[in-house]
Amino acid sequence: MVELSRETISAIIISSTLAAYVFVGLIASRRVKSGEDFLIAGGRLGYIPLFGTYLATYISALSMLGWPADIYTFGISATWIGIFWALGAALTVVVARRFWYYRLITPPDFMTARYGSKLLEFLVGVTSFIALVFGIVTQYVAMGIVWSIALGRSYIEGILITTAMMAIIISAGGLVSVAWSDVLKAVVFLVGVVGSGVWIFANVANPIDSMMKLATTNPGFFDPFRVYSPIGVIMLFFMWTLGVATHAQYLQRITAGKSLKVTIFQYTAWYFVAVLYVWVVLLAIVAKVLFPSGVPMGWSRDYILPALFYYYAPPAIYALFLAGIVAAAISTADSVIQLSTAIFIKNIVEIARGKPFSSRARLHIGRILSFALTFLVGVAAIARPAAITYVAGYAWGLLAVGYFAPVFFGLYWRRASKAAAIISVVIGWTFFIVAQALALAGRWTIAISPAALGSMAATISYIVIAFAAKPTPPPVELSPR
Amino acid sequence: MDPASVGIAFIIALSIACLIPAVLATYLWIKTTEGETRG
Repeated sequence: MVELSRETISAIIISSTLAAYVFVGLIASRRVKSGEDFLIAGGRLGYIPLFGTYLATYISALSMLGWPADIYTFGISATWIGIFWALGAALTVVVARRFWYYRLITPPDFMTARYGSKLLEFLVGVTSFIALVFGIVTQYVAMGIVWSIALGRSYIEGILITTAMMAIIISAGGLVSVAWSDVLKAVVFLVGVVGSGVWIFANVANPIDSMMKLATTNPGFFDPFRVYSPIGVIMLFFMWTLGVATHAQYLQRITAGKSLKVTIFQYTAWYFVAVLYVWVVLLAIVAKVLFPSGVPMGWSRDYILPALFYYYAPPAIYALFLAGIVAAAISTADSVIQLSTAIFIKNIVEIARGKPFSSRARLHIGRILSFALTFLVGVAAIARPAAITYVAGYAWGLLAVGYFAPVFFGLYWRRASKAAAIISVVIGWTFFIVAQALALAGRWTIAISPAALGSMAATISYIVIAFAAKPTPPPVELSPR
Repeated sequence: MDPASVGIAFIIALSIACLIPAVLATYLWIKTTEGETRG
C-alpha cells in the first residue's frame, strides 16, 4: 500500500469538504427566486438550516484557535470569556421571543420599525457594514494560514481558493445557500474537533491527569484572576455578554426563521457548543503539559492546537482537525459577507437613494455585490495593510454599542424612546472610539476595555434618557403582550 | 482551593453556562405553539 503523506491526506480531506460546501450551496440556490430570498432566505428557514447556520456562524476561528491560545498562554482564567459568551447567547434567546415578530430583512431595519428613525437605521447600517467587513479579515487570514501549514502550500493560494468557493456559494443563493452549506460545515467541525480531540485524550494524554500534573508543575496556570481582575471579569459582561446577545449575525438569524418555534429551536445548538467548548479548554490544558515552554516550530501562539495535532496525531486525525478549523472559519466568513451585502443594499444604498429597489433588482445587486465583496476582503487578507488591523480593532465595540440598548430596551421596556436610542448609541460610540484610539496609541491605562466602556456608557445613558424623554410606543400590532 | 480544583471548577462553570441557553431554548421551544409563520 502506498503511504500517503500528511500533506496529501490533508489536501484530500480539506479539498473534498470545500467541494461539498459548494455543491450543497449550489443545490440550495435553486430555491432563491427573489431579493428577499437572497437577503433573508425569505424569512422561511426551517429547523435544519437555521440550527446549522446558527451553530456554524457562532463557532469561528476565534473560538477554535484564538481562545485556546489564550488559555494556553495565560492560563485557566481565560475561560471566563467563554462563560460570558454563553450568557450572551442566553440573552439572545430572550431577545428572539419578541424580535422575531418584527419580521425584518436586516437587523438595522429595527431602528425604523421600532423607533421610526431612518437616521439611526442608516447610522447603525453604516457602522455595522464597516465593522463586519473589517472584522472578518482575520477569519480569512486564519483560512490562509491553516491552508499553508496543513498542505505546505502558499498562503495566497489558500486565500484565493477559499475566497473563490465562498464567492460562488454566497452569490448563487445568498442566505439560503449560506445556511444550507453551513449545516454541512457544522457537521464537519463537530466531527473534526470533537473526534480528533477524543483521539488525543485516548491515545496521547488523559485531560484530567494532565490537569493534575499541570497543577503541580505550574500552579499559576490555575489562578482564577490572572488575566482579568475581578473588575475586569465584570467588564466582560458589558463587552461580551451584551455584544453577543444582539450581534447582527444572530439578529439576522432570528428574523430568518419561518416560525417563532423554529427560531427558538436554533439555540439548542448550545448542547453542542457546550461539548465543543469543554473540549477546547481540555485540549489547551493538554497542549500546555506537552509544550510547556511555547508553541513549537516558531508558529504564532494562535496555532497551538494545530501544533498539538501536528506532533502527536497521525495524518488522518490531523487532517480531520484542520478540516474542522477551516469549516469554522469559512462558515463565519461567508455569513458575515452575506449579512454585510444585505445591510449595504437595504440600510445604506436604499436609504441614500430614498426608495427601495425592486425585489428583482435586490437579487441582482446582491449577487454582484457579494461576489465583489468576497474577493475584496480576500485581497485585503493577502495584502494585510496596517489599516485593516487598525480598523478591525474597532469592529466588535462598534457592533456591541450599536445594537444592545436600542434592541433590548426597545423590545422589553415601555419607556423605550427614539431619543434614548439615538443619543445612547452616539454617546456609546463616542466613549468607545475615543478610548480605543487612546488604547491603540498605547495611552489607555484604565483597566476597562474600550468596548466594555462604550457598551456600559450606551446602556446607562439609554436608561437615564428613557426616564426623561417621552416614550415611543411600539407598532400597534407588536405591543407587548 | 488547590489549583486542580480551580481548573475543575472552571470547567464545570463553563458547562453550566453553556447549558443555560440550551435548556432555556428547549423549555421555550416546547412552550411555543407552531402559531404564526411568515410568507
